[in-house]
Amino acid sequence: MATVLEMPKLSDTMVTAKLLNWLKQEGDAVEEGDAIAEIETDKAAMELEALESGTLLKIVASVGEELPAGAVIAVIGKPGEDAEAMLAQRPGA
Amino acid sequence: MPDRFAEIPVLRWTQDLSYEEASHRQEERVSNGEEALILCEHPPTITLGSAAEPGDLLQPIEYYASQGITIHESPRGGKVTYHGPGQLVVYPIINLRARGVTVHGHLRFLEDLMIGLSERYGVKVQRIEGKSGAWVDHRKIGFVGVRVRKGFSYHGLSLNVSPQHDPFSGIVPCGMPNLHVTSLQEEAVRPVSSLWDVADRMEALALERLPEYLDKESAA
Repeated sequence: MATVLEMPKLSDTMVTAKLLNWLKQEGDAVEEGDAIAEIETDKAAMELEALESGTLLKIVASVGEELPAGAVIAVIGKPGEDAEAMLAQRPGA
Repeated sequence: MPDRFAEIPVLRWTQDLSYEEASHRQEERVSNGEEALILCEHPPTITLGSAAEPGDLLQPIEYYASQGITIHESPRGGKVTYHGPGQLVVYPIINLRARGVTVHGHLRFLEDLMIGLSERYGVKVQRIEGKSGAWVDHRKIGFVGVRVRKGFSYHGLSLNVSPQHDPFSGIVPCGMPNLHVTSLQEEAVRPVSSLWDVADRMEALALERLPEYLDKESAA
């Protein structure tokens, strides 16, 4: 079952965080805890980690984008899983 | 839960250590999962944080070399800043994830340290809403910028102890043109002795406040 990686809520006062760059590409195998992307908010740069092992199926967010907490960043799952279907199932999609 | 911060090693690095090596040593500690409180002074260095833009350097690259200033990219957040002799740099390496501290809580703590330390010299330092760092009116005296990897925050704060005007004039510090920078010596009512005396007070203040701050943040 594929899972969606969301922008974390980094504090109660966070409005958005910026996606700085991708450290993995679509199709890359990722381990739980691997840094997938770099984000920045205020004066902090952070590595965003995979919450589970699998394959980076789809990159959703673009470099430079300002994203609120909960925004979809990427989809991680097994090779061949349908990332688009996963996204379509999300509430509000 | 990691041990209380008071039991964590305090390291001091003099300006003989390059910015590059200081960064490398921090990365190593983070990889090893080791917290620390590092106090240091860097040789003249301009650092470009993750949000730095090409226009933040006002002079051609050769100019900085001619002034004895090296330029480094830094993995910390924020734009461009200057470090050099007469500026106290503090790098608290803290496992935010294990301690349940938010990154914004940590940035505000770094600012609180600069506010608390400056008070001891009779300098009224404050935050400005929407801007990071530490300010005396609209003059910037202290800077923050951190990186978080594996749940650990590293890099940290820099506080001008003696005047630093010239090097800052070659950059757009923090992306703010015409930013007026100041220092403890320029603002202080009570005498400011050497950088390492200021570092002693900073160390004492940080070790005094860290346990309380970490407990409070974790409980929140």
